Amino acid sequence: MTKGPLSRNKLIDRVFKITALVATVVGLVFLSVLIIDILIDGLGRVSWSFLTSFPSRRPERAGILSAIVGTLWVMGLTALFSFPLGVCAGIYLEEYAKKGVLTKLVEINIANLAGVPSIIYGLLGLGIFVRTLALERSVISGALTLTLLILPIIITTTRESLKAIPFSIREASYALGATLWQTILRQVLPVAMPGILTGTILALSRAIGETAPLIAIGALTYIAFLPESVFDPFTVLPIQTFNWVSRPQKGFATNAAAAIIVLLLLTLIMNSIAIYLRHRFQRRIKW
Amino acid sequence: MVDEGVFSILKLNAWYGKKHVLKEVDMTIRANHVTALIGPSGCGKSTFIRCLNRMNDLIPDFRLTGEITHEGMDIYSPEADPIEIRRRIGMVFQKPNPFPKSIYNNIAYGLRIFGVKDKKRLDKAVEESLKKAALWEEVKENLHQNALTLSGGQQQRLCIARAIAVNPEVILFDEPCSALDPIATAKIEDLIAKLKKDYTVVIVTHNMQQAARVSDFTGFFMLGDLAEFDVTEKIFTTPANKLTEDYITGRFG
Amino acid sequence: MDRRSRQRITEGCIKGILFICASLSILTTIGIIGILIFETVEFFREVSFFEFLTDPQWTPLFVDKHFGIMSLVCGTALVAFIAMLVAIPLGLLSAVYLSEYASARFREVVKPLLEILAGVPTVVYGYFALLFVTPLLQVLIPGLAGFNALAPGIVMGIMILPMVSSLSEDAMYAVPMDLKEGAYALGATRFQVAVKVVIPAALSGIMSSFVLAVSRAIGETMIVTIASGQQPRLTLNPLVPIETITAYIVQVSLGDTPSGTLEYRTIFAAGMTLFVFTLALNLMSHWLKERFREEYR
Repeated sequence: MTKGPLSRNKLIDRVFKITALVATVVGLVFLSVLIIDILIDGLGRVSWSFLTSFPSRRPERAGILSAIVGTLWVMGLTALFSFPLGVCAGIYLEEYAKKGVLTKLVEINIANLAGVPSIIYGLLGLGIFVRTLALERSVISGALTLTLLILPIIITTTRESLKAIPFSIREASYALGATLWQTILRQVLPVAMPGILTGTILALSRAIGETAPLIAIGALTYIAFLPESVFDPFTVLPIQTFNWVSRPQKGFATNAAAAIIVLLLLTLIMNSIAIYLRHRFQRRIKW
Repeated sequence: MVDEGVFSILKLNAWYGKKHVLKEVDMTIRANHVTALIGPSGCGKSTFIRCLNRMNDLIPDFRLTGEITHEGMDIYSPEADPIEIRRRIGMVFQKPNPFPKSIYNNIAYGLRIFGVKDKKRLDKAVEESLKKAALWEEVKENLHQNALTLSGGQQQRLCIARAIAVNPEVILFDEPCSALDPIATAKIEDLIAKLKKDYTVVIVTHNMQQAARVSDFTGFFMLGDLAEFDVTEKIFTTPANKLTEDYITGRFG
Repeated sequence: MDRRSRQRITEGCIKGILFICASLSILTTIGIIGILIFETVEFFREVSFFEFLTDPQWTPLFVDKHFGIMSLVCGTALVAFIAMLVAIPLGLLSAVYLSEYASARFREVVKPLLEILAGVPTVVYGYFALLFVTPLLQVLIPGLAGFNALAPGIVMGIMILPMVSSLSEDAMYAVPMDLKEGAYALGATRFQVAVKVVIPAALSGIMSSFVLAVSRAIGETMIVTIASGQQPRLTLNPLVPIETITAYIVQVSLGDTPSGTLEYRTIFAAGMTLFVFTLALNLMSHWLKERFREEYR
């Protein structure tokens, strides 16, 4: 055996390893550059008056008050709608539905819904909530649209959390004469809840950054008042950002960067809560 | 040995999918006695005991024919309600399976789902059940501690207390000691011997000494057949069936 | 017994309510398809299907109206293609690195960090593509327009990278150890094992992640809306402004197009086109994944 091919193989292996490592790190470098760039562009603009002012024609006087309030309204309602609906649907599919062709079909359907582009949900919301139900371009139309968008994620996360609960717990409950619903409500769901909450928060943190479906249903890009009911028009942070990005003046780009910092902070907070919950959940329960 | 039993089982056949796991089983289970079911693994003894409180209903693909009557009622008739049946026929499982809740809430659960809300009644039931399960002295100071912090043996006695709390007529034990050490096992065996005063007990075990120690009647299952069923003493001294003899003398299984 | 029958009614009602919630997912699908079909059919009453497929121009908002979807499809495909040029090699390499080379600690730290990329709101990527990547590329490529397909394509590729990487890695991870051990026992290097054993064995799973990535890329909206312009054109040149299907829908939505007009219906016809493409890709990805599962059951 000669040394030649073996050391050549080793060389290829090393080169490949380094290339692969670089490829892995590219994403992280990109992420760091993105964050640094946005901080440089926008950090100087983030101030109390920026948070508490309405948008304005003059970039240095503009703020994100209506966008923040709009985002809170829409997200609050989205959470209110999507959590119970998603959890109930997940429970039905996991605990009640008979395993068969129909259930399989529903599963494929949900997987596909998760892959439908968000802008299509916007068209759905436009057709059903805005036009057919005549809810107009309101907070509630936006929240219902985002609810449909994240429902597949919450359903899937609920099912996975339920699946992870050992059968022995259910068995113990049934053996005491508990009904299916009693078993689910009192034994299974409490244990599954941290997992479900984690998934729901992650889904909501996705919804908070959604722009396209809300533009499609006609959320306004310039709004100088706060919604007073769920039937009022609204704007949200990503839309306000988008509006500023698409203006030529430099000052608005700075505003966009500042709005992005606030948006990223909100997303970060939500993700941290989710990670904290998951962590606690993993530590607490040992079977 | 006909009637006079709490349970009478007639021509019981059971299948998991296409697998025929119980074949033409006839048996009568007497009140306030301990009936042990033994046999090599996969012989159908666990399936059999889970038929007695309809726990097999939870398994998809499970199917049975024949008749099981409990106190004169066919528990597989359309009018029979599995929820009611399980309330009257409790069960303790192979691996201790306390709920991830406090000791108190584990025991109170069965009563609460039955609609009992009165705190005093719950307190009393918890105390009595724990006493009957010989666990009271060990846990009375820590009733609100999480049940998962107890040792394996304590957990299993908690599961027994939980079953007792709903005041069943029968308690089924499905290999209750297989996950426990010898000392914990001895405690459970003592307990089972005491329980027969108040309850009818059926226990599945793969430990023949255990069957000999605690039971009054023993059934020997083999490949889904009830090969022999008789008074325990007789099974272990002069078995009628050659297979039983081979099994209890340790020639297989 | 009375208690029990009341309980039974409660149980039945609860089951009914849960069922209604579950059927909402079916209703959503029906709603999407229904709305798209309804408005698209109305659209085709005024525009011939032939024109829709063959006209090289898409100018529904101009006086001289043309309804050729191909220029939007072309822009969409161009950006998606650039994104794939970024996401596929990087995603595959990082998947190999994470599954075959990296230590457990490295994976534990790097994987969640990569996931962050997928969680960043797309409007942020749009900002970055328009105001950072494009100016940077303009230094290297003098002819690059301020709006173009290249910068959003690259940024989109990075956004999709974690998805490709983590789904491909799952597939590679599922390749049975004994297959790898067989190759290692013959003195193969990790590179050889990765390229000759793991990737071929996990191929359908890896392909499934690629197809899903393409579907994500053509459905992505904000990056292209912000950074690639609003000029539908039939070109493969990545340096000039183009328009994608999604960007067109946003463009119309931002305006004040009254419902019931032909302009209004164009966004549904465009949406239908997008939906058909993504659905086909999603189903294909699902099918590939199932095939992969069958192989290693």
